[in-house]
Amino acid sequence: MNWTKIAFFILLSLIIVAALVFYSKVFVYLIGAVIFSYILDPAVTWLEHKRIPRWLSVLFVYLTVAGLITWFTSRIIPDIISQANNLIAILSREGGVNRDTLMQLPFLSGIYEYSQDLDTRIPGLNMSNQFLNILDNATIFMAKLPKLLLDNYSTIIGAVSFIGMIPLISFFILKDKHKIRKAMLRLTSNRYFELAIIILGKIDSTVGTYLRAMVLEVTAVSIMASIALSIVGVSNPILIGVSAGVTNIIPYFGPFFAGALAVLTVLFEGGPFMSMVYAALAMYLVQVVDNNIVYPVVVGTTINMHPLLVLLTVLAGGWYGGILWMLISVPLVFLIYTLVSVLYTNLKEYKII
Amino acid sequence: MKKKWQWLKSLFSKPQTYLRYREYPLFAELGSYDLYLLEDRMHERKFKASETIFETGYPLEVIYFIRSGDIELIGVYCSEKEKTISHPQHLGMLDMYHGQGRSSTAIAKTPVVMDAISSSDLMEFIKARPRCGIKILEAACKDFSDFIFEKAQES
Repeated sequence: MNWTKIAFFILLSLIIVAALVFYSKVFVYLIGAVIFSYILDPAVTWLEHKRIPRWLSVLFVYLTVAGLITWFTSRIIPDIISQANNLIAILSREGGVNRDTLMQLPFLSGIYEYSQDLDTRIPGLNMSNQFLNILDNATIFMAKLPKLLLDNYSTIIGAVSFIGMIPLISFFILKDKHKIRKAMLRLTSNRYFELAIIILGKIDSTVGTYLRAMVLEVTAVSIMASIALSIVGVSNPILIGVSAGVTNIIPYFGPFFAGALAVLTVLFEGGPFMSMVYAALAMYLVQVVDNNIVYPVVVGTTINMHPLLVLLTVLAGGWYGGILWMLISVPLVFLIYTLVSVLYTNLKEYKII
Repeated sequence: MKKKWQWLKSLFSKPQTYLRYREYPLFAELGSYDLYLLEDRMHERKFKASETIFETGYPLEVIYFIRSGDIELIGVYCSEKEKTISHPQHLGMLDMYHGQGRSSTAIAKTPVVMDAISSSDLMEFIKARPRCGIKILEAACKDFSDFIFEKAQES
């Protein structure tokens, strides 16, 4: 390699590093736009194959999505907001949730009376005091909940500009999808051209299929959970149903969160013990239908990882970066694993290594 | 009004540059819109003289259509164990259906320019536009038939 080439590659590297630093702030927008594009791409491609130019196909799909969002906002969002306010009101009623408020709930007062009865029968057991300690700790945690929810709402409001920018960037990604792909492949040398096509295809299929499957599964579980909770008479069914749909993305832990939310809602409202059982049963049934029908059909073998590895990945994701990383750690690990295995196999087959 | 109609029509019609793909027998019967869709999936590749394009045993991912230049093929399917092919022939269709990777080695004899399409993109295109797919597969059948008769005459 001569000095001119070395100087060129050094200059190129410097430009790339400078560009990465300069555009680092908008990197999150780009990732969001790419995810949005992956979800809408099949519809755009389908319309394009029906002889509608790609830019017009993107516009059609955007208008349809905007129409659906408008409908959803006008019909469902007011219900969700009123249900959310209702839930916050329960949690932050006059004087907050304290031991006395909780002891008014028939289910808890029943347990307290039973523990007092046990204390009189078995001297030194002191179970009723232990129960009161647990209630005190629970009230401290619940007092923090409304603030946590409000903090998240302010985060949501702060993300409005982020949400607004994504469709705009996504429009260009969708419209010029093939041009972007061609430009990326033009940069590869002849030796790595076919390998680059295989890798890009694998990323495309893995990420695209997974994201679209997730959207369908979230929608299906949200609808099923809302209907099931309405049938058993749990209040705020849409809010809890949508929460169940979203948290369902987190393997193992997600369904538990949603089930706990449903049961706690009944508990806070002072519902009878059987209502809690029905709420838990309804959420369990939703999980049975999801695991045996929705997931195999919609997601299928999109993520073919051992359950133990999934569990460890979710735990590690949670420790590393909270709920967001619990959501993305499994598909991220699977994508990296798939790419490394595809890369290794093909590097050997193309006699590069 | 006429101008507005023409402008509207121009949005749906595609430039004539895509029509050059009709020179390839596989795409000879396709309409201009089909060729425009194909153009999105085609990649231009340039090879220097004596540069290896692929070797026997490589996985088959890309089908090449020769736009200019000569390519030397060495492998089991080639007549007299060696063959030179040029515009508008293509490389890879036979191997694609065989599914065993590349059956020959291709080396550029002169500087070569080719249009390349991923086999998965081509199959997806055939499935998405069945009428167009039939035309491509018909042309491929004719190609295979010519090849079989050529081999039969040799033996």
